[in-house]
Amino acid sequence: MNFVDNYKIIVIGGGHSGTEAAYASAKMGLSTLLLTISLDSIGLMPCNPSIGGPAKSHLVFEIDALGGLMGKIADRTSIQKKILNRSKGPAVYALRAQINRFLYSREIIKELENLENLDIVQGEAKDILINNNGKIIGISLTNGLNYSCESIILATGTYLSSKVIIGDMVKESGPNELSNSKYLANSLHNLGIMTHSFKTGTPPRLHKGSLNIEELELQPGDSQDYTFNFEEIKGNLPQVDCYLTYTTDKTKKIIEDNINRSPLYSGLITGVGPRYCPSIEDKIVRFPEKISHHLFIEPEGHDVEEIYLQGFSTSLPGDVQIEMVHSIKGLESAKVMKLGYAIEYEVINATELKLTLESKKIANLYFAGQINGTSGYEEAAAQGLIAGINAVLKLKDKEPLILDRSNGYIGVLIDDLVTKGTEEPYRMFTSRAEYRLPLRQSNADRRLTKTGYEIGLIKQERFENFQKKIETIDKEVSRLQNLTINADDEAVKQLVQMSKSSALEQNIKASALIRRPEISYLDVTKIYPPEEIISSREGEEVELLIKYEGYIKKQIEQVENYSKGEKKLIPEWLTDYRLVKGLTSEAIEKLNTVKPLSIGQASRISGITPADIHVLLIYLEQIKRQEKNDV
Amino acid sequence: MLKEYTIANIITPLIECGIGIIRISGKQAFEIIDEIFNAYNPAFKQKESHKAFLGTIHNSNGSKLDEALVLIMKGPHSFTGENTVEIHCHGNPFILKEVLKEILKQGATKSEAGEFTRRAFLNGKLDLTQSEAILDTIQANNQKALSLSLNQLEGSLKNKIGLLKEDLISIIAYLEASIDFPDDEIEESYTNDVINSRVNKLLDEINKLLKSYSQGKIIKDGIMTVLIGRPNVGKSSLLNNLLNEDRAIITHLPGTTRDAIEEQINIGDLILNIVDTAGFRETEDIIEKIGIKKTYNYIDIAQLILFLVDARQGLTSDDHLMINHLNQIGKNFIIIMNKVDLIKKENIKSSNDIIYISAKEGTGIEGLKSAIKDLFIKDEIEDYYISNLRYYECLVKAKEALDVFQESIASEIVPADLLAIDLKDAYIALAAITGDDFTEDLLDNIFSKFCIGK
Repeated sequence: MNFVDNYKIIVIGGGHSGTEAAYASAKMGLSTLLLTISLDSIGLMPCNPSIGGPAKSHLVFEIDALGGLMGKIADRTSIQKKILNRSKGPAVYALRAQINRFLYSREIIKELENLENLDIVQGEAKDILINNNGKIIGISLTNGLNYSCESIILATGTYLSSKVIIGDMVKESGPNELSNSKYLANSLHNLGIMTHSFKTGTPPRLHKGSLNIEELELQPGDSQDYTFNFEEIKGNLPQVDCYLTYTTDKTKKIIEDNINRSPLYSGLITGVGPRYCPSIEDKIVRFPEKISHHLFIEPEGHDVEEIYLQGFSTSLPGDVQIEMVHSIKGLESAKVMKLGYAIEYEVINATELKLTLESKKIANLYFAGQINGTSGYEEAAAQGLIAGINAVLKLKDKEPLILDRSNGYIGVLIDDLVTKGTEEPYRMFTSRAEYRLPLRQSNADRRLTKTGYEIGLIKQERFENFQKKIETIDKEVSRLQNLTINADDEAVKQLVQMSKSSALEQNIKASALIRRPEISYLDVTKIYPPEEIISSREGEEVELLIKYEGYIKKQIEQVENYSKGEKKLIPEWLTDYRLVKGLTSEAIEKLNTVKPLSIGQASRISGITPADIHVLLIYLEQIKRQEKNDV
Repeated sequence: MLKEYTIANIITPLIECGIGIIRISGKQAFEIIDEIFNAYNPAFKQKESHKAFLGTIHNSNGSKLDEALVLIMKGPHSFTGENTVEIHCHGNPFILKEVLKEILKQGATKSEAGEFTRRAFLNGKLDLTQSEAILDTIQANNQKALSLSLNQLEGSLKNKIGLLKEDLISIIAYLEASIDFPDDEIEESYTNDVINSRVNKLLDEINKLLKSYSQGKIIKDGIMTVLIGRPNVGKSSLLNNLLNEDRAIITHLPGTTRDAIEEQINIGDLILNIVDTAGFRETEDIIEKIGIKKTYNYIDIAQLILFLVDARQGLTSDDHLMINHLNQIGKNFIIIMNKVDLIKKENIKSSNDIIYISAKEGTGIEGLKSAIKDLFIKDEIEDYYISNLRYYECLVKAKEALDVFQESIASEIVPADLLAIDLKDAYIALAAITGDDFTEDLLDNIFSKFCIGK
């Protein structure tokens, strides 16, 4: 076979997953090819023009902490920023950025174009090439060219054998009129990797100038200077507003009158859609008592008229969509620039993957992003980064990077996918993390930056700054824990009085004073300033560590308990659980599918009982002793 | 999920005998024993391994349950290889169960069959050949537990727990939905007050179920009944009388000591486990002292005291002392005037508190039985009750988590994400009874209740 070029790693797909994978792979020093169906659509945001939000923002902070792309590019191209959940607790503060999606894509392309070790090629993958030993040797494209490689990362997003559906129209297409990937699914089937359909959808896009802005509620940003990226490099784009509006009883009636024309109800759509992202027709049918649904109007850029109508995803026929839009408050004469649509695409069962995102069947074949059954840019990017890192580590003969549920949301995401699989497009929620308090966006760097540095994605200078930051925070916390405040201190007396807090009856530690709900870290440091200046982000973290110390401790204890199960590894040779006498047949089947890495992971497989785990533990102990005896 | 919890159980057969042993094994073993045991020798605090200490076991109210010998064994030098405590109590099933209950309240988990042995094996204390036997036990136990839990959970109890869980998860769903979907219209009606009153209701229900544990235990295990009275008041006649009538369904538990005899008697749905105390049988000085002390021990753990008096003698001043004592400690008791056939009719002062019988002639026995029933079936019997200690433990855990939640919400400073943690702990405790997946349950609830999505 003729190869036009040779690479170590080929990444198929230039979306949020593929770009992170390619970036990590090239940055870590291996020659990498990024293959995309459309060069102009790298880093495309085909759905909502925003990044972040609860749990998703946590993912972005973690990606940044490991040295990935998404956080810094989102900061650079943001046109509005908001901190959500300020009042709901330290574990769930979340940054969300509205993004100029055109610039986002442009900035991603710029990053990649200038990256050493990385080539970008437009084309459609046709076949994964395998030699007689089942080893990956490269890929072939539909244009007849072949490229050789040692590892492949598949990040096909919603393009794999995808169909776009509007009303009774079904079209073989990727999102946003891009062509889909027609052959690759077949290639996977030939390798014994099966696929099934998932479905998602997007709302219509409107012309901003045609909206009656006065009828809409203003939704401005509030945190322009807050960044996802550790260096706190802010963007400089003009900030714009979002708006809020509502559907009316007229909207409801139009949908009800036309529901028989919806492909969701006519049986045209068979793929499983996400419950958290229902179409407007779904909402009307499922919540008939609700007269009105709220909708957000989000700009697609600061310099474009196209706007996104969040909450109005639909696959009803075009004429109905336009009528529906006109029934919305303030959108009576809105111009529809793009129709909403549903899209069905092929995904694999992620339980076929290892925790490194490598296929269990085909060595050196990795899967990342929506092809694994997730939804969302952030979820995709996180997987792309991990797949990219692990593909490199394996070729370099190094230990894999496996984040567990106590290391971060990325760990929760991948463990859930690989251990349990998913019945619907999987989105990250904070409630999926059992150790939410130690997994704050504010400490993502503490959890992951050392790892990012060790694998080579974090530069020396940033690592040193990171170490300095951690040192500063820890020093300040311990200063406040040790600083005794005299009950007679006049300034403190005044502070306590002003804050309507109860008077000090005896000397207390500064940390105890900060733990009072009415008193803030800043209040106390105004009277007792630290020796060195502390940045506002550092200060926030110090305050949080002091105020929630008890809760954090409690959860860290739980984490320690959890980690014991994760550290009890199951030997790699154990792939056929029929060997384990005493397991139920259900347990054998499930363990054979998932092939858990550790006892902890095994215990999370649905249907595996504590008794099964005990049987397994005893089996492993038996083997261990036999080995000892043999020696 | 695999947990490194501390386990405890009674490891000697549950029959009347000289000594009964409870074993606690695991990380918390020493902490737990400190909570329930007062050693006479303060050196106990040092937990020197392989030393025995005499002292008293008490419950969380501070009342004494038994005098016991406690053995400390530090891991790995113990049967299981973990920190281990063995409590040598008096060999009375009721005392043993009460002591175990206290241990579980302090955070231990009741061990499954073979679990001590399993741990011993995993910690390298047993050899390979023994592990096969352990596997068999697990499997057998698994099968048994499966059929048991199916039976137990069928019907109303399952529904009841299901309702509690549903209620709880809908509160959590609100908190979590408002966190994960800040843009969506989550009902505003969930103020802290609303949440609090719903949690209050839940706590009421859980408390009811916890109370029903004693009812369930009564139905399942029987009522611990102590028969007291002076010599010759006719205790044996009364026992024989009750026994004779129910000869077919009596089990005579073998006792190895002569001082207490336990008989099981059915009265309608109730089972009485009657202990005929030896205390009043002996009259000689030192022995009588010991006997009386034992009687008082039994009275402490009894659920019902049948106080038999010779109608001809009436209540003596000693009897009144005893009655005062019983009233003080809040025990159910019935005063039974025996030998009513030997006194004149006009001397029978009919009253609710006193039952007149003639054990010899068999009169008044029915009246006694209905008096017992009245005492124990006075609460409206719900069609569900908790009779399983594991469920009881789960409910206690759920209750404790909800208590913490209420403290947190009352403080007004604990934010939603932390409140949700306490509620989740409570839910997981309930779900341990029925076995469900928290995250899936939660998401189902959120998506069915709230219209969410962009």
